[in-house]
Amino acid sequence: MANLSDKIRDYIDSRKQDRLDKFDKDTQKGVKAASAENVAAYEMERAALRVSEEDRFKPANWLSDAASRAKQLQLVTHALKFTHSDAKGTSLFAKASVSSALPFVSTSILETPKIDVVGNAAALDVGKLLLLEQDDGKLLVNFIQQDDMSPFEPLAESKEQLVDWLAGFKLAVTAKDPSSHKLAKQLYWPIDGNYHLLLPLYATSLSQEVFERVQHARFSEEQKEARAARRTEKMSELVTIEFPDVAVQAFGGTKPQNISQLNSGRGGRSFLLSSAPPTWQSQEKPPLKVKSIFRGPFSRKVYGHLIGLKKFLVANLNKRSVWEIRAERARRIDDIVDQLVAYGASVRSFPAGWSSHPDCHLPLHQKLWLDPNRRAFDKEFEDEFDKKEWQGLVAADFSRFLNAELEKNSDIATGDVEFVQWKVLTAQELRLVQDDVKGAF
Amino acid sequence: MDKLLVIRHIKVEGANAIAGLTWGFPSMTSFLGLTHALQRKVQTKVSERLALNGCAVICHSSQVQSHSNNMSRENYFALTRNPLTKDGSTAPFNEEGKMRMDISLLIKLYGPTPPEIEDTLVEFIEEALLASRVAGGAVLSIDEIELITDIGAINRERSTRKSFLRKLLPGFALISRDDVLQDHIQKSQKAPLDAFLDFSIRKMSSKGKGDKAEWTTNRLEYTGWLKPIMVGYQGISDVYEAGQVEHVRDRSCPVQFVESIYSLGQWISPHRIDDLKHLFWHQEYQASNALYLCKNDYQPDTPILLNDETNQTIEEK
Repeated sequence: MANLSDKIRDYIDSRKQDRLDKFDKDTQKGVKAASAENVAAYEMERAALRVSEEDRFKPANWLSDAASRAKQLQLVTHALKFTHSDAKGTSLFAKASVSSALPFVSTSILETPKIDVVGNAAALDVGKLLLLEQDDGKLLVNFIQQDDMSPFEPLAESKEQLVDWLAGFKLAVTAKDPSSHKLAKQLYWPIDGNYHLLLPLYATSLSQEVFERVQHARFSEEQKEARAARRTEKMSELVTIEFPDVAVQAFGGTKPQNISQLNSGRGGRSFLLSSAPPTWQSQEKPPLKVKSIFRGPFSRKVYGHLIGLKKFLVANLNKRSVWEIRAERARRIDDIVDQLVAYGASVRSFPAGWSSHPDCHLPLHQKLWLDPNRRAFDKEFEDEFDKKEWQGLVAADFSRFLNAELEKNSDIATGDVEFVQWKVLTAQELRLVQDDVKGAF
Repeated sequence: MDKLLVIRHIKVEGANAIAGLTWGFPSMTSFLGLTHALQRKVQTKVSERLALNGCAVICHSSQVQSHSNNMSRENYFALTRNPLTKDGSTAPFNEEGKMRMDISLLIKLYGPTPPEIEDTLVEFIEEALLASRVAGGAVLSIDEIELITDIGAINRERSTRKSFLRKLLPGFALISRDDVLQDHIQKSQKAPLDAFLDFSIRKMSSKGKGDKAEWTTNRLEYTGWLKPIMVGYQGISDVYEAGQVEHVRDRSCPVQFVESIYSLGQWISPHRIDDLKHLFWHQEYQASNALYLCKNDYQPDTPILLNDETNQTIEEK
């Protein structure tokens, strides 16, 4: 069980090793290049230099140097440069939030946010030092934030040194003179006749969590195995996970390291989750070449809904018809009727008269429902429309379609009581469809 | 609620399609910001006694300017070529997502609107909107603007409410579903972030079926088009007094650093709404939690089917 002091020592040692290896390699060239009589002198000088190099890596010396360089970078959870790579101003290490009981997702719901480093890339080694982790996940920087210098005590030569180090390292986690920038986002929020000016910063720690989960779903061995099992239709304990609608936002162009350390690790990419509304514009063409919208154009739209409804009915077939089940069933049918109403509305937005196309094989009542504006220049069509018979016919079509879909499933269509009740419900629901069809104009 | 501005079919080009960690629709903060900007214009030009407060958004169609490659199943934004810098190199720029959309807005209006200013107001709103940015995009056209002076009359009767809402089809209204997110966090006992991401994930699992296995999608038990949405900002620093922060656009008001916060939203068909107030969003500041919220009053209702008549039918069988 290595404690943090040992980890600091190890870290400095590894830096020292890297540095000395490089020194040896570089000076080796010098030895080779030196003429024979100079070799001895050169070797002397080289040894002396090497000692001073080593001296730099005495923990106390290195730490003093690191503490003085700490101000060149900042450990943050929220970074400004994502907004614009030329923006200069405050990035922040957010304090733990007020209350996590709120139903919102933000950095404050993360127990241990991954910390990002921004600033001078030459000081990144100091950043790595501060992110050293204790076995329980507590970071060196957390000690600094709490003014607790215990991990440094065994390495310091005096009390004064500890005080200096603390002050130096603290600069990496305190926002100095808060400032924004002309390239940063700044927005007004109205509060009782006055305003607050809000300065949004990019939540790089939260973004990191999402990024890691998407990457895991795509590239982890576990997921590869799960997907292979799915491809070959084999059993597996595993569940496949996919993020179907992500978009990629890139930061920093060819130099993601200019934005932040985590951004560099993400290859400058971050993932966005879709919040888009359901789309209807996939309907570029009116429903031609079909005998009914319930055979294709509309049925495809509600395929997922129907599967869900059937599953639900089968799962609850033999339970007592409790209120929750009825409510859920009703909700699911509502959704399908919604789709019907919206489908009708979207087809009606095609140019009036589309249903007179020779390729339109829909029955008259569906034409009347989906192309009402044709009445303006088609007297016969108008007369039929005014009879209003088409409303009942469309509702009946929908009813037959829904029942046929459900009867495909032998479990539901056992002619049991449930199914009878179910038809009653459908009929009720269809009165509403009729309402919608009637009220469409 | 007394009066309502109904703005039908605003077609917008180049609106912002990115909201924090989400994409596909501008954030609600844009539309509430627009509502407030309109209020400022109305108060200076039409009547100081009018207030615009609260707005509902219905999206009829939308198209993000992006493309995807079928290999990685990712979407990429179509980006603009920007002018070169003065030494001829490529200017640094940040990826922006743009979209086209056709939306309708309902905006609540408070204050006296005597008949003589009604027409002026409607005309003014149209002019102001055409000159405004909507979620950062330009307005191409507006179909119609209507001022409804007694919204209560429409809302009380089911038939008048339905016919009002039906005019908003085809389209979907955005409402908030904090309740679903809360419920899912509780039931699943997952970390909040994982529970939240469940609504953006497709999971499939296998069941034995003879010597093969059948893989099916595990659906969540919630129905509806549920999506992660950005709902406002959370303070991440103290509130600084006016003038304490350098390089801000306004040194006369308090300043706070914030991050975007997210919750669940649902796109629902507007004609399913039982009460118009369920559609509206408004801005709220909670000083104690340092929250700048877009709040929506949606209450999940019992479906229409569950009236007494239906229940009786079932008891009798």
